[in-house]
Amino acid sequence: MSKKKRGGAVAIKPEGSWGNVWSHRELYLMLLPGLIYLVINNYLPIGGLVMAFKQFDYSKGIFGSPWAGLKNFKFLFATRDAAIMIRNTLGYNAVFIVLGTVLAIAVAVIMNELRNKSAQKLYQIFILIPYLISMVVVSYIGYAFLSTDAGFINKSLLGGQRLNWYMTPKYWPFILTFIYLWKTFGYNSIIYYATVIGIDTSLYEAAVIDGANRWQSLWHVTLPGLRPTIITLTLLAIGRVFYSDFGLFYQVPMDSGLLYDVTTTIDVYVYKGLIVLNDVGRSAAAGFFQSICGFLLVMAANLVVSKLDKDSALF
Amino acid sequence: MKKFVAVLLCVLMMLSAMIPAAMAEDMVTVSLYIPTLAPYTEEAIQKVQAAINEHLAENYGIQTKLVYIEIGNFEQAANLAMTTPELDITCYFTDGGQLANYVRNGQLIDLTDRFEAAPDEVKSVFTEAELKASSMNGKLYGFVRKYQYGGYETVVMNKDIVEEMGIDAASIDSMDKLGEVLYQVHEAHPEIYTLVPQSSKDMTWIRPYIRSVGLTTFGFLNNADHGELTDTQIKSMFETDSFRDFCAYTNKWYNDGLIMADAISNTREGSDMVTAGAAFATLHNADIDPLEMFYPNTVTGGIIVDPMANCADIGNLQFGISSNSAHPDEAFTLLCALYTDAKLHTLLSFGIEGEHYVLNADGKAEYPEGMTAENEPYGGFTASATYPNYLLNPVRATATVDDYAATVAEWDDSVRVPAAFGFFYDTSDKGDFVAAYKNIEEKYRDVLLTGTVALDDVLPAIQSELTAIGFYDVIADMQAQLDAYLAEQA
Repeated sequence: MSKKKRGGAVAIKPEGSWGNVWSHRELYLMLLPGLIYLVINNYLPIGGLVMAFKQFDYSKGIFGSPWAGLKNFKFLFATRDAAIMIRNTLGYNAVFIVLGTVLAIAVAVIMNELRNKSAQKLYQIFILIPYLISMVVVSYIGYAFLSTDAGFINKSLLGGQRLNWYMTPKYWPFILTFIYLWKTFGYNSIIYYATVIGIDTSLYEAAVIDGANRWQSLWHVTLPGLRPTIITLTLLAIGRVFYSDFGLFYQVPMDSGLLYDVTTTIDVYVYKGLIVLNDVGRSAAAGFFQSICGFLLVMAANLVVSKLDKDSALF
Repeated sequence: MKKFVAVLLCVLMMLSAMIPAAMAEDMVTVSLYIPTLAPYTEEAIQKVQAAINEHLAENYGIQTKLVYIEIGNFEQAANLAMTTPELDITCYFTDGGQLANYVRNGQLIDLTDRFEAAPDEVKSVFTEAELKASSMNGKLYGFVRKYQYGGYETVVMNKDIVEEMGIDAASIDSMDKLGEVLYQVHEAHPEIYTLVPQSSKDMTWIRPYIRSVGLTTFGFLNNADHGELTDTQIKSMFETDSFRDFCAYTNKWYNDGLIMADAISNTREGSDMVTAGAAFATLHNADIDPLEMFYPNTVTGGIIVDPMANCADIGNLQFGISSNSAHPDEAFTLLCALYTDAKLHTLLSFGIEGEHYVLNADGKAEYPEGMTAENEPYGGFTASATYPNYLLNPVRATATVDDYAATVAEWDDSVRVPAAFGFFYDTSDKGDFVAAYKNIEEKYRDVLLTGTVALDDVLPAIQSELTAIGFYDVIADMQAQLDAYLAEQA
């Protein structure tokens, strides 16, 4: 038995891990609902991945259905659409990660420079609103801008020119990137802003005493302070580079056939292909492929980070 | 005293909840999944369900639970429910290959033996063609909705403009004549859309200019105007003459500004735009009931494509029993009753007499006074197309015929059925191919049908993509099987 002083009295604390749990039982009790949720929502479904290797028969259930080996994975690579959808998925995600990070950091730094607290809160609300809007609503906002006959861009900015945006693929990588950044930068910048305000102000004071201007303070104090957050968020984003925002790539372009070459990502292809088949085995295979690729990428990226800066690695 | 009253109330509440439960305890409840084509309030559904259950308890010793799901989400919701015993009977649409999917995935029970053992009253409901349309590999998997087969292609026009310009609506019986009128209207009314898609970016629903074959979504034959229905040469949709001709018209009209520029990103119903005066016309598919009945302030043109049907038309909506149903026998009892019991079917589709509909002096059904399609709480009256056998219902007051059953029988006899009818092509090992084909079809179909691009500009790319997924090999195999089938039939 170990002894611990608590409020002047001597408390007896049981030793061992269970003893430790018991002594913090209130905290563990508070943890329990979240833990149960995590197990039910995040861990139990992992067992369902077995469906990726099954010829799923509704009447036989998951475990009664016959094994299909790797057959369910074939459809993802059966056509030349495979190269297009993988290119689009990885390409857009790479652009989103780089530009999204730069923009979010820039906004976080600018917010930190604001001295008027009321204005600061107001700006935070405004930049966060797009994140809360459903992608279906965003698609209609986009349509209001891009409609050939009545869109704001054609009517007002192009002087009545009838440019058919939904038929012209070359614009859509930029449109989709713009919409993604508009929708997400507010949320991401708040995460960076929370880190920025946590940087020790004495570092800035020291920089000023040393004669640093704002840019130098930014470069030598703020960005190094943000580095762990940037690395963590980037690693998490890398884990999802084989996924895409279905609404962004399906709803916003209004599922226009002429845009498929620049809007088909793995998720969109799987949805369109499987909606006609009701085949959960193939859906599970696609999800399995995305998860495994994401997992391997995170492991690889974390390995690189740990070689360069061990303290910044996730594990 | 307060405690005593509180306890007493609790006991009474528990008893009141338990008594009906105990009464229904001995009876099996069969769920019935139906898509909604009109608004239904939860209160109205519960009332109708209670009335149906009273009738079912008296006559069949079973109960039902009505599950209405918005039509856009129906297939996904039903698929999910079919993984559990929650769903017993569901309807499904076959024009997207759903029957083949359900059979391949083991989602429906085989009804063959049950149907063989069913009373003659049930067997006599279905024609041989209807039984074929819901069968695969010689096994019966569902019952088709009793409805007229197929339809004809026509045009729905804004009444005000038709009257203002003195247009002879009935004379518009070809795409050429439609084009003449569209150009006149475009000149007189450049401020509105001249022609809009029937729904969203779908230029016309039933696509009577092509016929899918073998209950697949990828093999097509020319339509009646471009060859007899005896045509049995399977092609891709994009390579049929009838598809080419249709797209030639729409492409010219699109380039001349007659079709709305945003056709491929449109999200509105064509009939809504025509009714509201935002558009002059939309192509439409019609059958027995005149379209003016459904769309106010419109006039319907003549017949542009004659009535015809394909395999999917005959059974385009079917009702089957989920293989995970916990009560398949009771589900079959209810399914049969839905096709033979007029009182049950009228309750299910029209609702409660006096509350959701009334019978007039002629015995025809109409809305109760003060009610319309917009405010009637049980939408079945306007959505009879989604119920199993509307021929059992009283004729509606707005109908143009007195005897639906006789008219439908006459209609079905007049509708031409393709020679390939009854042929089934097994796609159970072609899932990868079907998924790949679907992506190609969706990429090109609507942009071509709306005339947004010219077929000749993209046909080489389409053919190259079809070749890459092995389309022509599949078609060759399908053709060989169809030829063998036809030889056997002969």
